[in-house]
Amino acid sequence: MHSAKHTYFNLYLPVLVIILLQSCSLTEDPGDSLLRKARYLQTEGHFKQAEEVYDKLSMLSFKEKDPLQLSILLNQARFYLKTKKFNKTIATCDKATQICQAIYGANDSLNRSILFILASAYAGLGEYDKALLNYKSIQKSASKSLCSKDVVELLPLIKSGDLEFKRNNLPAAFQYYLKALSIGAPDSTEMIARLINYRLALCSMALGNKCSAEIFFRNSLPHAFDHAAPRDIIDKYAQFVKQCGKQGSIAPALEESKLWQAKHKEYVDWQYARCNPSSRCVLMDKYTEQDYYLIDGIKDSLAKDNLLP
Amino acid sequence: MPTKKNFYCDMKLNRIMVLNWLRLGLIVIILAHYFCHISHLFNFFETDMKPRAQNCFWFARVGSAEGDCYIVDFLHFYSGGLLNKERIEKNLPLDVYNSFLLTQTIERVIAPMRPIGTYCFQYPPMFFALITPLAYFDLYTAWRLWFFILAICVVITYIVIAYDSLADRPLLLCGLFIFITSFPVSENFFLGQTTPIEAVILALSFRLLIKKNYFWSGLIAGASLLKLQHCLIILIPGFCVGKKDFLRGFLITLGVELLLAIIAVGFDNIWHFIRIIYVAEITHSIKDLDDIWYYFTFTGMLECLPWFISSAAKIGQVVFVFICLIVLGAWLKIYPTLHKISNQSMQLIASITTIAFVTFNVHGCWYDYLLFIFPCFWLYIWSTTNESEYSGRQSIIRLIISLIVFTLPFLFWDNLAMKASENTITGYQLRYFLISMLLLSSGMIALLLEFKRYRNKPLLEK
Repeated sequence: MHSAKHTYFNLYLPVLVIILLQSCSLTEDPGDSLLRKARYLQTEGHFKQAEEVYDKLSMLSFKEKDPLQLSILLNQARFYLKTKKFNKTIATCDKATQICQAIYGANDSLNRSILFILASAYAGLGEYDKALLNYKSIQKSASKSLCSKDVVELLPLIKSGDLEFKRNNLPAAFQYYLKALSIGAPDSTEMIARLINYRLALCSMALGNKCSAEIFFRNSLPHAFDHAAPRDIIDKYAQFVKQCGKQGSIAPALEESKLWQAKHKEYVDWQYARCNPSSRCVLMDKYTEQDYYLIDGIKDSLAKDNLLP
Repeated sequence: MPTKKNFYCDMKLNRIMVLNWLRLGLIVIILAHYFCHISHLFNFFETDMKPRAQNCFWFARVGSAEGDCYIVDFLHFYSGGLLNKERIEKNLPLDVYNSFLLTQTIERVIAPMRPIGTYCFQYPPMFFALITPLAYFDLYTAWRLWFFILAICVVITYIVIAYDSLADRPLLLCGLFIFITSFPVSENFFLGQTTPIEAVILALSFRLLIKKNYFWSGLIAGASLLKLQHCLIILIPGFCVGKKDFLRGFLITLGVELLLAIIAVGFDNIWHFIRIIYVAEITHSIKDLDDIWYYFTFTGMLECLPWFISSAAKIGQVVFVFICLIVLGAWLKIYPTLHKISNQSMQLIASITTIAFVTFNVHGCWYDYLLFIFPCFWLYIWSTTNESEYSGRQSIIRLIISLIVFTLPFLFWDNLAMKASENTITGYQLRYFLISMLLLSSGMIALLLEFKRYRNKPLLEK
């Protein structure tokens, strides 16, 4: 009896160990590691190599209704948007919508992300009405959110404002930005509050309202050394104050500029030495700065076309 | 006719009285100094944090109009729960530890915003049994529920640690208020971190270990695996002191946890957990997790210094192993000797080892300093009892220790805050480390004095 038990034990133990080892593969899933690679290449600016990896990912055969496939498509759509391949973005978004509906249902909140990417692609193609329609659909779906209505509405409002700004419909843009500021920025030190204030400042300036523009511009300035912003933002503010004829405010603004630039540089040098290029803090700083430049770009293109007063 | 013995007794009583009054006076001054910080904290909660939690911008901090967000820890847990809920309800064969799926779920909660980078879940599978029910509520309601649970955990932790002393010294309950409003604890509430849950497990397990209830202590200590980086705080003393009984209790909990994990996330996800720990901690394939400069531990402090940028992680790991060996030595060699002469032996050794584990951990943040409640409370109790058994000089040292441990929760408020002139967090990190070392030194001195008290006894009896 005793030996029989031992035989069973001797038989089952290796089988058990083999089953356990089979189940526990310690290497990352090939799809996951490829997607991770594509994202790293994208964040480091190697777009061509990133596209190749995304293409390889598209070749992978997935089981039906695989949420990972949806992740790949969303990342790929964002990649095409970043590289300004808008038609490819729209095609990828269509695929993502089908899969999202199959897995999570037609009313799932992830559809909002897809609509947001789609709207940005239409805006890139110059189809502003289609883009606005998509932003409106996102806002309409706000009531079904697990999060608050404000979180859902903030980005479409800002983006709708950007579209109207591009179309030189300045009062409408101003209204969108003001609404975004009222819901999304209870704390003026938040990054998004500064970005909306910057938009409002440029919009007010274009509308010829120098007084409110100066206030919005001041609110858009970085307050602390760890706030991300373009290095020349305070110099721009000083120039603007000069244009407004408020000569007395320039000296303190320039003083502040030098101080912030020095502190921010020291902080960034210190931090970047300790982070890899795809770290969250590095990426966030980059995206915040890009956002400042994006709105500068809209203003400059309007000025180039002599559309500004 | 007063005898020489009576004269010394009177002198000792006078000294005890003077020291007690002096301590009371100093404690009142410290409390008065920090009163405005406590009011600021409540003000911040009411006027800033609560409105932002209501409109959910507290959980997702947007950094650009493209919707890139920093995510608060609670949203991470909530999304983990939501992912598991989907797995159960739609019968999907999901890997709940897959970082892309988790990131996608976070995006589903806050869409059209999206988290920056990818997020990775490193809690054991049994944790899903706690967080999956949260997904049945909206984000704000879930956070309020979680906040309530954490608050209950913090209160239970304090009462369990202080239980034996509260009967004689009911004023010690005031410490609960100081504990709740101290920086690391309030941060746990605001971020929704899990350290209060770990703290209550450690408190219950330590209490049972002190009461020599080794089996039950082991049974509860098994739950400390919830936060793997802190489980050694109880497991080393448990196995060294409780031995077989503790092990038996621990193994039963481990079995229950395994069953709970299989029910909560399914068999496959247990292997996915092992894999993600390996991928994240051993091979470091997930680069998003490689930033250690914001860890408020010895490793984080090293990384902040200019000389150890590339080697901080390795030095930190070596030092942690070294600390584990020292702690093991302390429980195996020093504790048995001290246990024979002191009724606070376990509290004293556990104080030192807890400080060492929190400070030299390879993975830790500022909210983990909540665990300093154990050394702070135990050292405060030690330094304010049995006064008559110490000499004058020793009493003064004990007074200083009691003031250090009393001030520590307050030190986390303004003395450790960033200075206006600072451009990096190096100074901030150094101050955290120095305060921890100050507390560790206090613990070591307390240990030495406890040994000396034993030597004092024959002298005092004469």
